[in-house]
Amino acid sequence: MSQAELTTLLNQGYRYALALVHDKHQAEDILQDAWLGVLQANGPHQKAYLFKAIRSRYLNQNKRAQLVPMVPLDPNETINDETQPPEDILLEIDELEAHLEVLRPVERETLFLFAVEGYTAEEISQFSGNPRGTVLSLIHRARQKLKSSISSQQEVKHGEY
Amino acid sequence: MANIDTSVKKYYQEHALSNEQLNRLMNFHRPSRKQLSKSSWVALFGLAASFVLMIGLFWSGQFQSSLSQSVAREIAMNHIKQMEIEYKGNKIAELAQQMKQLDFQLHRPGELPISEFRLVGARYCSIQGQIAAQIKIKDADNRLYTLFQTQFRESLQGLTQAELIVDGVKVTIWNEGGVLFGFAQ
Repeated sequence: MSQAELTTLLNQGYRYALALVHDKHQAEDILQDAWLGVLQANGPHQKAYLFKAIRSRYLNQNKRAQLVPMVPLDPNETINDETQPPEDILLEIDELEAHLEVLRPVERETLFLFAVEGYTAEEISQFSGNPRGTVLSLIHRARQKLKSSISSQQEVKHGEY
Repeated sequence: MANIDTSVKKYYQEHALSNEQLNRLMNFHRPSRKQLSKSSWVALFGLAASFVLMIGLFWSGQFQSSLSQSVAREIAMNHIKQMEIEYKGNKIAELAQQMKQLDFQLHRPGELPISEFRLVGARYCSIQGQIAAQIKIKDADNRLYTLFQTQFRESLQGLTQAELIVDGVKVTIWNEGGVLFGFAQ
């Protein structure tokens, strides 16, 4: 593996860890821990393997609590078999950090894998062990929460003027 | 105007590891690999030394206080997590022999804020983005404490002995023989 490929892999791992913990120092810590584990286990330098190692460490640190989709499905919520196209928003990228904070780790993780890594709902389901319907629901809810958080902030901003 | 998914993607793509972090992670090696040749070590040392020099020039004195707080916060956070130990041992030498990824020699500190103690084991962690050892120790009453050690690089220069309370954890930081020690209780 070339140095450029390794750089890409490590940065992908860092971003995934960041999606889980939403804290730069903790993300570095988990990535380092996972990377050492990959090397010591003589594991492959592959994204899926590294992501699994990161997820495993995150779950160990958080007592297997925060990546379980604990919120039951709303019976009135309609989840289509395919994800709907996301709505447009008007927002500076820097401002997203605070809004992402409102998401639960499992929602942030699922949205990250879908929107950033380009995984399909089926692939996320296989990776996380959550049913495909739950994955679709998590993506939907993550988008809705972000939209709601952004709208609230913009209403406050408009109210100030 | 962009959609939420595109904005989320842009947000994460703006985050990347620094060159120092990448170099450090890339320099970790698989246990079964051959030892580096002498010339490789010299090259690595040269690279590390020049990087350390750059870092040293960058930091200013006004950074010291926030640096102490930042280090203490990381130490307290690692202490609170109470992660399981990966290497067992009741002597520093035993732990040092097992923790081969450390880029510095583990030391027994000259003095600790507690008098009688015994080592339980250790694991890797990171402090300010550099590899560190997190050593769990117990006192005579079986109370658990955590001792941290990492190389005292130029980037930590100016960090003097400090005692801070972070999230209810008392953290003591000091430099001894080129090693940054942190003690959490």
